[in-house]
Amino acid sequence: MENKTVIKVENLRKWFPIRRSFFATLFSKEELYVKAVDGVDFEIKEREVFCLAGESGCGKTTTARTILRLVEPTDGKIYFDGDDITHLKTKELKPYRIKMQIIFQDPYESLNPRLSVFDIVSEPLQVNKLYESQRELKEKVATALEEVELIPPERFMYRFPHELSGGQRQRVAIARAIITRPRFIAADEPVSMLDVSIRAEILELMDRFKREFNIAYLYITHDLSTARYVSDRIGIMYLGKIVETGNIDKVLDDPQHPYTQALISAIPVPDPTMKRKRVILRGEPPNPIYPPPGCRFHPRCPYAKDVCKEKEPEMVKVGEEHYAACWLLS
Amino acid sequence: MGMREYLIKRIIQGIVTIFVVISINFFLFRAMPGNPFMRFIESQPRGKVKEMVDIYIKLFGLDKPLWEQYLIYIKNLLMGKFGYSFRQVGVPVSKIIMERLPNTLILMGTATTLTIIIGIAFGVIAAGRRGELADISTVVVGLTLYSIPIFWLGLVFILVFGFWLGWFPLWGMITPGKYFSNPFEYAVDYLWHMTMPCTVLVLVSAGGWALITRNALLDVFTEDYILTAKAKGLDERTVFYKHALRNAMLPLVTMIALSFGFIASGAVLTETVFSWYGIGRLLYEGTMQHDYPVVQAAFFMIAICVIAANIIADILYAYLDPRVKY
Repeated sequence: MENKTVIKVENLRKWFPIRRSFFATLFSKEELYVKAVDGVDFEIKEREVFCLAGESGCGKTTTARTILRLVEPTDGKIYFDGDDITHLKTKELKPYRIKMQIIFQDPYESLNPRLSVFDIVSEPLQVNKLYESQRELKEKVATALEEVELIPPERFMYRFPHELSGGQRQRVAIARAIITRPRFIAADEPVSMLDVSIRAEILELMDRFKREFNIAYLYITHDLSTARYVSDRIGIMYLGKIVETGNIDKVLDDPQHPYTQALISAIPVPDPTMKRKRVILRGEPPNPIYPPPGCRFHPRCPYAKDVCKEKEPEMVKVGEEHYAACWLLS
Repeated sequence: MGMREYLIKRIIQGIVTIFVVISINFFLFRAMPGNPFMRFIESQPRGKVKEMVDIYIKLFGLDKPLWEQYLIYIKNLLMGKFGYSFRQVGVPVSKIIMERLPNTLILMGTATTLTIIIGIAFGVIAAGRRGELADISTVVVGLTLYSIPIFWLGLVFILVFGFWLGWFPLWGMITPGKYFSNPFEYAVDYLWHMTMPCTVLVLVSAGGWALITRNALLDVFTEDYILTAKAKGLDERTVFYKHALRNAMLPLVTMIALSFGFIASGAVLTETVFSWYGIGRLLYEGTMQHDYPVVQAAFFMIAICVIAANIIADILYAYLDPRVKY
């Protein structure tokens, strides 16, 4: 049976208006925006991990938060199981909140320091009235803690976040995310703050839930090696846009966009004798308030041509399950 | 370390601090220029001034060496004796302070309570409507009030509401010479006199509280657990009150406890401007008149209140914030 599409995003945009001083608004009517996400399309199926990768500030995190409607989208459409949730109000959104969850990067920030593990993990059930009795609530929390391998659960339930290690905290965050049995989880760099030794365990855990509960994941990272480890497909983001997307192995083994090539050549290889072609990027990503005209990447691109400065390239098919947006390819 | 050990440790620390305070207190006033009895004696008939001063100096033991005076002072304090006023000869200091203390506690207690309630309320409103008119006005008005010198605002109030408009009395705590048929009438007159000093105190300090509350809340708003709470499906109100405000209140609780510790110290400037018969004005008068025993005793009392408030704040904090360990 074909896996169902859980999340579909069409032409998603999130522009943050810039707060300016009183005098600046007095003298010019022009409104300025940070174009954090500027026209992003993708879909994620059941049991599929879609990875968004890119430099800091390219809009990966904003994309995830916008899909979960934690920030309001400026334009575009978000579909959950085929339902348009782009403009649902807080109340109408509530049934969907149960089915989509988020895991944050920093487990020291994502858990409220004044709540116990029990309060944190049980709150989604309490808010959405997903339990019959106190006993059931306690059992469900215990099960969730067992599922994330915080065993025995009684030992962890009444502790506070500061009494746990980073890995344990992230497990609590995951228990909180899976307790409502969501269909979609956005994992925003879930392991980048953790010790390397526990990264694999956390990723294994997420992979197990994917298979057991048919979860669709949006995996956000700047670390292409963990991306390959967990993801099925990938989208490379640059300045609010996806520049290359497709099957993870195809994109990483045969990158077509110069930006993807540069990212991949920046991964250290643990073999000093190996010679390889390095693509070194010059400069910093441009200011997302004034993205460059034409292809956003052209000021840093080693192959930039005249057309790149004028017109934005379309996404074109460059192979089976592999797309890229670059004038060199069309 | 358990709660008991922590408490004992804190109380010992407090006692040491109080000892340091009373010592500084003693030497500070004796280092001030001038003779405590000169002004007092100026009003006496001419001729035997020198002899009079010598008699008073001997009477209060000020001819003894400084270290001996210090030891006597410490000994008396430990026995609960605060001595007699230099100025109102023969009147015990404790009587002078007890006369003033209720007035200060009523004025400062009311002002502090109102300040905190109003300040926090405005801070919460501002943070909840960030960038909107309510927020911007709170910040602008808050900063303005925060920067106004209190004695100046007091004088403006006296001029405008007391002198020009005649709504409130210019000074004092009760109308002089008025006959009160029952305690209620007395209370009304008292509160009527208190309105202006209390309003001035609240206005000048509430601005700061609003700004601090707003900042504390905005800090918490950017934490990931606020987004987590939203993702759980909590409505805005619950996120605001249960997750944001509860965490933002932590630093405020300490400040609340500390500001109540300062209630007993009175408000030197406000009480002086409005001729309020309280501890603040006593401090001012005592300093001007070299009335060492009075000022020393008042400082001693204030130090005890502030140190006790500190200890209470720490205990409260530990109770509210699970991260604090002893």
